[in-house]
Parts: sequence; structure tokens; C-alpha cells
Amino acid sequence: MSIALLYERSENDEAGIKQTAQQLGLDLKFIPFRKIALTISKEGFNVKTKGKDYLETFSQTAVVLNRAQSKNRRLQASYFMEMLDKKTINTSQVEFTCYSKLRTLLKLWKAGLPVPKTVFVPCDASDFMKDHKEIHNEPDIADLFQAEIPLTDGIVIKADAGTHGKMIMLSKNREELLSNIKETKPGIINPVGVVAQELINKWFYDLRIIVYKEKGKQPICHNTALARAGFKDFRTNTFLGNLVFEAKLPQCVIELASKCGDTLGEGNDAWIFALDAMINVADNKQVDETYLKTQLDLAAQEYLPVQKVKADEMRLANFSAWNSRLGQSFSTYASSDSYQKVKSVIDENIENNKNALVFHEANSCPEFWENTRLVTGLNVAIPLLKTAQSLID
Amino acid sequence: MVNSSNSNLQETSIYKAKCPDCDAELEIPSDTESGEIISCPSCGLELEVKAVKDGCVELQELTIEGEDWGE
Ligand SMILES: Nc1ncnc2c1ncn2[C@@H]1O[C@H](COP(=O)(O)OP(=O)(O)OP(=O)(O)O)[C@@H](O)[C@H]1O
Ligand SMILES: [Mg+2]
Repeated sequence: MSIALLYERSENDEAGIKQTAQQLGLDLKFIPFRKIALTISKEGFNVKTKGKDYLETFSQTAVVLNRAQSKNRRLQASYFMEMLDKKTINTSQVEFTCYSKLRTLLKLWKAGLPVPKTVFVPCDASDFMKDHKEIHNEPDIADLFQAEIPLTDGIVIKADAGTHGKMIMLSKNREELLSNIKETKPGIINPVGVVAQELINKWFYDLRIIVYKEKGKQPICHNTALARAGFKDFRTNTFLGNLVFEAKLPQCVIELASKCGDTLGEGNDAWIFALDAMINVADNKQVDETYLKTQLDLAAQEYLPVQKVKADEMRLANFSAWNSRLGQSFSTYASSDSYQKVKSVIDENIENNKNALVFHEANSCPEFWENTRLVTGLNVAIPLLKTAQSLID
Repeated sequence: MVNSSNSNLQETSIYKAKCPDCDAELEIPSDTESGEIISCPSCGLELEVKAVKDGCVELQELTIEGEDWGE
């Protein structure tokens, strides 16, 4: 019995998983989850695309490694596969939690784990009456938020199922708050209501921490994290062009992250998460910001060759050669003086503020090939495949 | 969308190409024009025909990204 990689579009992460499976000598099957028909009827189950029958692939599959890129399709995929008696990484239960930032935060909060103060107002920004007249709820929602979080400290509005920093909006005055609430119309990335959060004074970086568990083993938290850093925007996601640095995790953070994994993966034999965390640094900063900004600007220059390789379409024709070039350009960036200087500021800052860390999201299907893997030295494809392999009896 | 098994296209010759994603063999009629979108019969991936010349077809994956695509 094999592991099947279920995917919609084979991106670098999926190409990396394929390459890693080959290196590990694992037999990987492929389920392109696009334009496929999954049929249930009194005759049983059938699955095919226009040109190919996938029943044989399914019958040889014990575990489905779910890499569908759409959050909604991913949730359906895990649930569907489980109903066909396949094991999944991650399970539909985990996908259901991670789909929503609010559901993730609730679970962590209930387990006593640190999360940012978060307010959920189930009412949508506006409603339509039967005669199509629109009623605006923004002022009421803003009042409810302001009663919980001082606006002068900053209120972050979030699309509950958003990713890549989409619809993450900071308000510092009433006008901004009203217009940001208005932006959160119900839709696929924000099914219902409005979520607000206190602004965490995280200085210039946030963290991505990898935790995973194989069946029958203890959870593992990788000892270094990906720090995403920059001063351009209060959002530090890499998707918005921020820089990446390796960050050493103190033992207490490793333990806390493992507990997060256990909490979110509770009741499941194996799981993997990329946890997003921030540190409320406030004024506990060790270096002068002008110095730091200069070093970040220099690091940005060092990063340009890496960005150039990333954008090179050669990866489509020759992934392996492209990957070597990517690795080389990244090593040059990581050994630059400015990278090392920023990295040591981050390491020291984490150590000095380790008790002020909060978790704000768990990603069930993390991107890893281009950043996390290179920065942390952990090829996440290995734990992905190993957690899946551990589920094969 | 071009369908390689379309009987109207029997007069045209067929170029062979491979789906960059699932490696399935694609049959592309020689009169396909660049810019046309075909989809892989095996995995359904949408591909844009970049160039057709000298018996070679250059294909490129369409970059589709749904609103809820994310980690
Ligand atoms: N409460 C907050 N206080 C301060 N900064 C925040 C807060 N919430 C989010 N951010 C910033 O915005 C970024 C994106 O937030 P979040 O991770 O919630 O969104 P996302 O759309 O899931 O992004 P990604 O998919 O890249 O993880 C974070 O990396 C962080 O820098
Ligand atoms: Mg995030």
C-alpha cells in the first residue's frame, strides 16, 4: 500500500515532495484533484478524469497526503478520502480547525496556550432586507470591538479563512476601523461575521514554527523557526516581499509549540502544522532601529539574486537544476554579513522576550520549499512523508 | 479549448507533447494557435500554447489562483 499525493497544481512544494519521496525510496502515487469525478452510487465508488481511470490508484492507496491548494477543496478532499477508509495528512478534523483562524485560536485558548486577544462579532458588516435595502452594521460592530480593544493601541481586522496576508487590516482611528469592517463582506475567505485582534507589538518580525507527530511517537518541534522580517508593513508575511531569517527557538518555546500541536492534533495519530507566532516585544528592543533598518536594507540587496532564481521559469523545465541554483544563491545570502547581523538581533530578541509569545494561526498545508526549508534546514517534505508513512499499518 | 480527438481536425497533423504536471502524452493538432488553452486529458491541468513551430509545441501552465488558495 502506498501514499498518494493529492494536489491541484504541482508547484515547487509538490515537486519537492516528489523528489524527496524518490530519495527516501518511497512509492508515491499521484491524485491530480482537478477535473476529476468522484462518484458514489449503489454500484460503489468510482473515480476518473476525462482521460484516465484512477480506481486502481485509489485501491493501492492507504494514506492521502492532502496538498489541495484551496482550503475548501482541501477540507472536502480529506473528508472524502476518510469516508473511503483512507488515512489522511492532515485529517478533515484538523483541516476544519485550521481552515478558520478563530477555531484555531479557540482551541489554543481553551488549552491555556497564549493567543492574541481576539474578538468575534458574528454579525456581518451589512445586511440586505427583503426589499434589497442595505443595513449597515459597521458602527455597531466597531463599538463592540472598541469596548474590548483600545483603538489607540491598534485593532487588526482579519478574514477568518484568509491567507497570504489578504484582508489583514490595521486600524488606528474610527474612520479606518469602519472602512476596514466594511471590507470584510461575507465570502469564501470570511464566511461569517468579523474577527478583530489586538495589535501585537512584534517590532519587525514574526515566526513560523514546524511541529509534527508520527503515529506512536512524541510530537517534534523543529528547533529553528523561519522569521519573516521587515518594516514595510505591519504584516510580515513573505508573500508581501519580506525577508526571511533563521531563528533559534528557546526550549520553552519548543515545548509550547509542541503543546499547540498536541492540542490542535488531539485525537489524531499523526499530524503536521506550521504554526505562526508573534512576540509582544513592546519596548524590549536590544538595538537601535536605524542600525537595524540599515542592515535590513543591505540584506534586501543580498536577497535579490535569490529572488531572481525564484522567478526563473527554468524550474518548470528542470526542477532539479533550478533547485541547486536556488540552494546556492540562498547560501550566499545566508552567509552575508547583514543576514548574520539581523539574525543575531532576532535570536537575542526572542530569548529576551520568550515569555511574551502568542500563537495566531496554524497552517495545515504549509508552503515550505522556497523559504522554510532553506532557512531552517528542515525539508518539510520529510516529516510530511514520514507522518504519512507512519499511518500505514 | 482544443480537443485533439475532434473529427473536424482529422485533416491536420498531430503534434505530441507531454503534460508538464502528470507526464501524460498530449496530442495537439498542428493548426493550434499560440494563446489557445488546452487541458490535459489525464489530470485536467490547463495549459496555454505558447508556440507551435517545426513540429514542436511549447506549453505553459496557466497560473490560476482561487481566492481561498492558501496554506
Ligand atoms: N494581531 C496582530 N498583531 C500584529 N501583527 C499581526 C497580527 N495579526 C497578523 N499580523 C501580521 O500580519 C501577518 C499576516 O497575518 P496572518 O498570519 O494572520 O494572515 P495570513 O493571511 O494567514 O498570512 P499567511 O498566510 O502568510 O500566514 C502576520 O505575519 C503578522 O506579521
Ligand atoms: Mg499566517
